[in-house]
Parts: sequence; structure tokens; C-alpha cells
Amino acid sequence: MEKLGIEPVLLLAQIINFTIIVLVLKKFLYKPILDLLAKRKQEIDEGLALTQKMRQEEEKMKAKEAKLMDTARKDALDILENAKKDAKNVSKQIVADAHEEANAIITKAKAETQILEDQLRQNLEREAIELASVMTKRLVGSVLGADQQHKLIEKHIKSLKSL
Amino acid sequence: MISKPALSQSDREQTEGKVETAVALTRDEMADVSASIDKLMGHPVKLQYEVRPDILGGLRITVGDWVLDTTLSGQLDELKANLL
Repeated sequence: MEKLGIEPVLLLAQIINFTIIVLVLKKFLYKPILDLLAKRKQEIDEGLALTQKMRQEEEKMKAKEAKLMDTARKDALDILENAKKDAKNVSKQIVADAHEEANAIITKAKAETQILEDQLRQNLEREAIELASVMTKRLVGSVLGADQQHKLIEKHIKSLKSL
Repeated sequence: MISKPALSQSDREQTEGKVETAVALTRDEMADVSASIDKLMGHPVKLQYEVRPDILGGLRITVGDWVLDTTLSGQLDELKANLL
């Protein structure tokens, strides 16, 4: 070894130094780095797991949202349909009420017209009778002469005598 | 046609009456009317004669509440009342 230029003591010392360096590095450098890597790996794993969980949650939320949207759409359609039915029923009812009211108005108007017509007819008849009575009295008064008056009176006196 | 009148006791006790005609009665007509009323009442009744052209014809005799109306105006009024 000495021929090769290697000092055994120096080699031993270097071996010891190297060992010490290795031990020190292992203790103060490798282990923290390994711990850091392990921790980092754990964080990444947790992150991935969280991401996966988030994706699943997102999928669930999307499914839930879709279901809610579907339900909301169905409800909206139901409400719309019911509203249409209600509107149709209300419309029918309004038309029926209007018909009924119109019929009532027509019936009332007919009755009032009939009453008015009857009153007019009665008034006309009364006036015609009054007029006929006045005219007859005038006519009789002007037609009957004194002789006819006495004949009429004598006729009544004859009836009076027979009582 | 004159039907027999329904005279009440109060009417029969009347001593005065009224005869209305459209023209003035002759003496004979007055006598005939007076005699008929006296006979009907059963005692003499003093009659007052009144000329009323508006009765048109015939005669109306009133004694108390009893009225014998044979006037043309009365008959026309009765006809009018029946028609109305």
C-alpha cells in the first residue's frame, strides 16, 4: 500500500471521516428531506383524495341539481297546467255567469215591457172608453129632441106605475 | 125596465123627494110621477122638480137614501164603469 502511495492511517482516518460525514448527513440532511418528501407525498395524497372527494361531491351536487331542476320543471309544468285549467274553469264560469245575468236581464226586461205594454193598453182602453162616453153623451144630448125626451120619461113613468 | 126598489123603513118615512129630468116635466107627467111615488111610499111625498140637461134623458128620483136612476147619463156611466 505504501508502494501505491496510500497511507493506511490516513485511509483509516478518511474512512472514519467519511463515515462520520455519512452519519451526520443521514442524521441532519437525509432524514429531514425524507420526512419532508413523505410529508409532501402525504399532502399530495390528501390533496388527491380531497380532489376526488370534491369531484364526487360535485357529481352528486350536479345530479342533485339536475334532479331538482327536473322536479322544478315538472312542478312548473304542473303549476302551469293547473293554472291553465283554473283559467279555463274561471273563463267558463265567467261566461256562464254572463249568460245567466244576460238571461236575467232579458227576462226582467221582457217582464217590464209586458207590464208597460199592459199599462199602456189599459190606459188606452180607459181613454178610449172615456172618449166614447163623452162623445156618446154629446151625441145623445144633441140628437134627442123634446118629444123623444118626453117619450122616454113617459116610458119610465109607466114602468114606475107598475111597481 | 125598472125593478121593484128595496126601500128601508127610514126611506119610507121620508116626506120629501127630488125628481131630476133633462127637460121640464109636463103637469101630467108631474102628476103621474107624484102619484107613483106616493103609492110606492104609502103616504104623500112632496117632490121638488129640477131640470138638469147633463142627465141627457130619463129621470132620477131621490127620496131619502133611495135613488131611482133611469137617466141616460146614469146608464152610460154604468156602462163605462162595467167596461173599465
